[in-house]
Amino acid sequence: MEEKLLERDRNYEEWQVVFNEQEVKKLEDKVTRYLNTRLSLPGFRPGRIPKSILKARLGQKFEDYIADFAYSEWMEKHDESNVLDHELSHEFKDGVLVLNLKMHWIPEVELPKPEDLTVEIPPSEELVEKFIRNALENLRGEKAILEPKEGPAEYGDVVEIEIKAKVKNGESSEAKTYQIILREGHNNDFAAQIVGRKKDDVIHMSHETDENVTLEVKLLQVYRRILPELDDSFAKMVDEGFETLADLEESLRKIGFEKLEVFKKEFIPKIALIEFIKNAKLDVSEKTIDRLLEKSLEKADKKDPYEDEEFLRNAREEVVRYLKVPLTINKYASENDIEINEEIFEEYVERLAANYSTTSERLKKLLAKKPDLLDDLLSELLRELVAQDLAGKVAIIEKAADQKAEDGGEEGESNES
Amino acid sequence: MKERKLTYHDILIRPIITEKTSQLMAQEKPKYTFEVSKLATKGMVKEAVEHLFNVKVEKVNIMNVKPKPKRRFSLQYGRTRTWKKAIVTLKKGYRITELEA
Repeated sequence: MEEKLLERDRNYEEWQVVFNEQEVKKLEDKVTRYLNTRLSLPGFRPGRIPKSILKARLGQKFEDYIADFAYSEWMEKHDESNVLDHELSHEFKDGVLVLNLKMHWIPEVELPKPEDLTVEIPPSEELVEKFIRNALENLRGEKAILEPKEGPAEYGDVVEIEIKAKVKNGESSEAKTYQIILREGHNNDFAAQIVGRKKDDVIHMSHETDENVTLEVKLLQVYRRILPELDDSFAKMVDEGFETLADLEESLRKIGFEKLEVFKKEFIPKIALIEFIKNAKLDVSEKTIDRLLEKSLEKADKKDPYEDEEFLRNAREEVVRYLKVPLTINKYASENDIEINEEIFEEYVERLAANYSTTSERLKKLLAKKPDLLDDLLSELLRELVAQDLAGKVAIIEKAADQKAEDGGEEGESNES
Repeated sequence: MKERKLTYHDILIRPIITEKTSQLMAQEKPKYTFEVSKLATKGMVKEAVEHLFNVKVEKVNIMNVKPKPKRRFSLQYGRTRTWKKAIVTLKKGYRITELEA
């Protein structure tokens, strides 16, 4: 076997491997032995089909088998576990086999130092104050007094409506009564159609998803919401235990900090991992990306994908992400001795089982039947472990949103200068 | 009734390719085995093989394969069909590559 490296570009290599006549004969014998264990032909005892018969019966397929065996032989000298993908073509010239191999090896990832990374999170005080403000507003809404109103409905009012669904063929559903708050929002068409209408008005609306159905909405009553003032008496109204508004705010602050801790515990590892992956450098050839893109586009149900530039750009980014994420996680895990042991797995399965309202035994049985699902769960668990490890190493900085904008502005200016 | 003349393809029904016949094919003077028409004679087989495969035939051996008893579902008894077998030996240097496949 003579091998020649024709091209190398990062993780991509193009090889030409030549097998001489004798080696081809040996390969043919190997293929014959292999096929004899799998094929049976009338008139021949098992395992006794001659090479010539197999060659003639299988034709091109026999040659493909030889090429595959030749590839396996070449691969014995190389690390098979390092192959991401390969393209194989071959030709026979006067009994000599020429293999053309396009090897896409698993690309290298250069990991950043976690200690050098910073994760910016909003200041705790700011978040808790925001939580208190929202909680107080919600409590005010809950304790609002509804006063019947004669004029047209406005945003912020409460309306009592009766809805009847009518199908085109004349059938209609039973009328149902609801009380809703008219909230302003970019996606709230329903409220927008009620605003400006008065009591006893009937509005016909089209159904969001079913063209054959129309909704008949009758405005039974419009209420003005009178929100209580935020003072000590409001605090007492919420709970008799609170003497002053400050007491209520203090209680909400305590809850806010507790919730913030839970949020941080979940949020920081995730954001640390995202930052880590963003800063990792993938040393991959464009040819590998093209190859993977081509394969994924074959599966995608899209006409002429190569004409849609934006789709193509997004697909390329997705391919790089698909390569980078697991490689980064696996490399970090192996460098830092992060492994999934039985204890960790048991604990994870129990947690999952509780989430899906089942028992860990049943979940384990299911996983035993579905190895793909098990692989997905293991990679998800490894990702979780890596994220937690990173969260303890990266620098966490509390930064207000307006401070971030200022920093961005300064950077922009310095770039321009 | 007018008797129909056998064509070359009527004479040679099918080649017999088995472990044994493929060994015969590999000899210096290769031998090819065919199932032939029951009406075929040595001369007819020779002519058909020479014409169809463009080779020279040295000799032809012909035999009638006798039916063998066959049992189906333990109670039904029968026999396999009878057929005529021809082993054609070619002159040295000739081969029928189509059949060696």
